Amino acid sequence: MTSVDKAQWIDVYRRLEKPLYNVVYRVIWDATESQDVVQETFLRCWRRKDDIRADGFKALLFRTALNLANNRRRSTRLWRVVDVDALDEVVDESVSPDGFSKPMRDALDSLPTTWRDVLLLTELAGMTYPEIAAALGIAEGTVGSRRTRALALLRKRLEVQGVVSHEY
Amino acid sequence: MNTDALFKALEPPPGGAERFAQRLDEVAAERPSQRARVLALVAAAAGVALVTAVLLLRQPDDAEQLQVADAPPPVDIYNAPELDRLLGRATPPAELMVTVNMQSANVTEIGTTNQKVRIYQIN
Repeated sequence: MTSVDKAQWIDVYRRLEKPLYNVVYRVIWDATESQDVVQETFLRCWRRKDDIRADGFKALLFRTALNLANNRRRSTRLWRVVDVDALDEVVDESVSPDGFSKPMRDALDSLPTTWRDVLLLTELAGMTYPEIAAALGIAEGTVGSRRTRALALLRKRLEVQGVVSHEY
Repeated sequence: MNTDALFKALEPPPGGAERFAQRLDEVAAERPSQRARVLALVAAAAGVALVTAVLLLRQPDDAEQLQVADAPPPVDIYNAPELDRLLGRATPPAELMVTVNMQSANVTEIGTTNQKVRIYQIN
């Protein structure tokens, strides 16, 4: 790996770390794990750098990040299920350090994965509908419809839990 | 509060780029040797598979089979009189030895029309 090559990858990392981190964080809800997933995303893409087209790079990054995050989330939940010791722990999850209350996190978690992925990319990744469509392998129109449905369901869930009021 | 609160931008933990550069170096350093190991393993496996396949699937070709079938048996057996009839060869006349009262006697062959019969007169 040349120094120019490395410098370019680090530069891209600096520019895209924050949006990627924010997307991944809403899936995993853990800062350290999320940053690890973002770095793993870049490393995986770097390994495949010879096969990557420049115009598809951003889509590939976010698709990889979402896949890794969803896998990490599933494995974490599985370990929680089998971790008998955790039964004795009493954890106050009412408000996490990031300021998100448990009802807020639960509301987002309860969305169907395909809807949530679209919502995270539209609200946090700064991507256009065509970019999101390419990243998720769906039609542009589907991006819009899933976003609308996801937002409606999210508001409904938050209303039920008393997090948002009716007047917005 | 509305849903916008869920999408407020968070700052990632500090030092991410530095850590990523470090991990990139680690992956780049291990990559050639790992690839070399994989290639060596694949080459070795392919070699073993090739040799095994050749040994298992190898069959003598037609020329080789004909050569084996047509090859004359070892000389001693081939020239044995026992094979004359089988191979359709004329049996060379054998020397007749006759002993009378523990002494060798002379014999004279008498002609006959039957090819399978030999008549001798003891002199």
